[in-house]
Amino acid sequence: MASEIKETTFAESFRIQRRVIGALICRDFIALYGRNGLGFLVLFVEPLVIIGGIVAISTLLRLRQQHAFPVMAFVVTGWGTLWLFRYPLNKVNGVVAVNTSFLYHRNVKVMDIILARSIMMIGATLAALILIYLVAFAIGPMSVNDVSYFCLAVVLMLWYLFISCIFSGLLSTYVVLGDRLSLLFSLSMIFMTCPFVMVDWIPVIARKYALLIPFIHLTELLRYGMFGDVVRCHFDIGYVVFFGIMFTFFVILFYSYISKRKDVNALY
Amino acid sequence: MLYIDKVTKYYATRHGLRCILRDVTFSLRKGQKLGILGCNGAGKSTLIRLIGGVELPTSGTVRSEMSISWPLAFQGGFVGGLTGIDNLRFICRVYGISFEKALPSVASFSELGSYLYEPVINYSSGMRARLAFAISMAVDFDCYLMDEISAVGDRRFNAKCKQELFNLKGARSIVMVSHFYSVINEYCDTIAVLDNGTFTMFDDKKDATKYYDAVLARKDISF
Repeated sequence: MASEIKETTFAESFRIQRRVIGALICRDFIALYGRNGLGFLVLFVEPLVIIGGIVAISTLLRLRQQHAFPVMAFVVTGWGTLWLFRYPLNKVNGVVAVNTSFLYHRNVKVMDIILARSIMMIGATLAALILIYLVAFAIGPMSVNDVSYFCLAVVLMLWYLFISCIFSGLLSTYVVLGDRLSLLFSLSMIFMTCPFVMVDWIPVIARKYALLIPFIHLTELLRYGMFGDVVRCHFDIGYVVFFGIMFTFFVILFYSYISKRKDVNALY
Repeated sequence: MLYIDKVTKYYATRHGLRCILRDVTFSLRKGQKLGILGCNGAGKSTLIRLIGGVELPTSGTVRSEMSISWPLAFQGGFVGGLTGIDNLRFICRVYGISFEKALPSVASFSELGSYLYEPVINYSSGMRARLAFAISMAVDFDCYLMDEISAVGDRRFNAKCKQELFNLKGARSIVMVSHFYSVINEYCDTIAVLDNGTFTMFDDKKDATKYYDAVLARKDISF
């Protein structure tokens, strides 16, 4: 007998989507990195090299300058945060366009393809960052000053990152020239995460405007967790949470509007 | 039942919006086999994509009470680096069916032997088509979509596919699009013609054939 069509409950739908996302991750993983040998390590090694290489070079060069500022911690928190956002965002851009054929499978939705790629790339970048942090902690020149702030910053960053990836994926899927806009969004992280300077170093008049960007608060919060009072960090947790909720609602509304749009062939 | 109600589809082109389908209306009951004839660019594949749920119509509705397959022998979802087994495993996960149960039937139907464990990139086009068809048969649907599937593999394998599809799964509905009326005429009980986005359904196959001949003549296409 062929399968009967019936109304599915939320729990059933959730189970189906979880299974589909799992299948997409497995397939994406094998398709991108191969199943033989150490090919899968590329997933993890690529962000590791990008982040770790710069951290190592910057630290080695600046350590000779003999100042009190914790250079490695500064580079890890800045450059690491920048790539925590940029790497997954780059990989999510255009993911649906190359996987449109999956949409013939009724269980597979556009959102599943974006979620699967986001989860895989966020996981890979996070794993690479964790290794870099562990190495940095192990060799000595870096330590966490306030674990609670540090962990809070990481959780908030992952929230922002996840929503940003979905937004970027939707943008590149449904909007004409969306892939370019998505690339611009990823590039804007160079400024939005403020990786190269502390906000305290920026002129006061510019600082006021810089702090309107919630991503900067995240980097500053992470740095506060790392440095404590060694340097002055500027952040507002309430503002970050408020903007995060607004951003999440915006992305949900954007998806519910754009996925029902019938006027143009936006998918192609 | 499958209901297609006043479906219109426009595509944005460099020269403005182009109408591909105009007010297409029909319904398909369980077990019915509908063949849709049309020249290249008539909108057949677009209609299949709309029925398959890959795209939304610009206006009108596509509503189905049946489970609908992806286009049979569709190879678009294959990735060269994945083996035949990987592709089957993916489909099994997506549809929640047992890989262990599906594997013997796919292996025996596709006749690929140890090639199932090779990357699809190493397959010939015939092998790919056999794998695609075998995987399509592993999932049970109420309605199968067929887009220009006139020959899968050699004559023997082609006969095997037809046996599976039209005899063993004979109770299933089929929507088949093609520009060859011999194929449509042989396997479908209802025929429609798609011409410049206009869908015309015929009760009598002969009328459909005459109409399609007239369309071809108008387009000055000779076979």
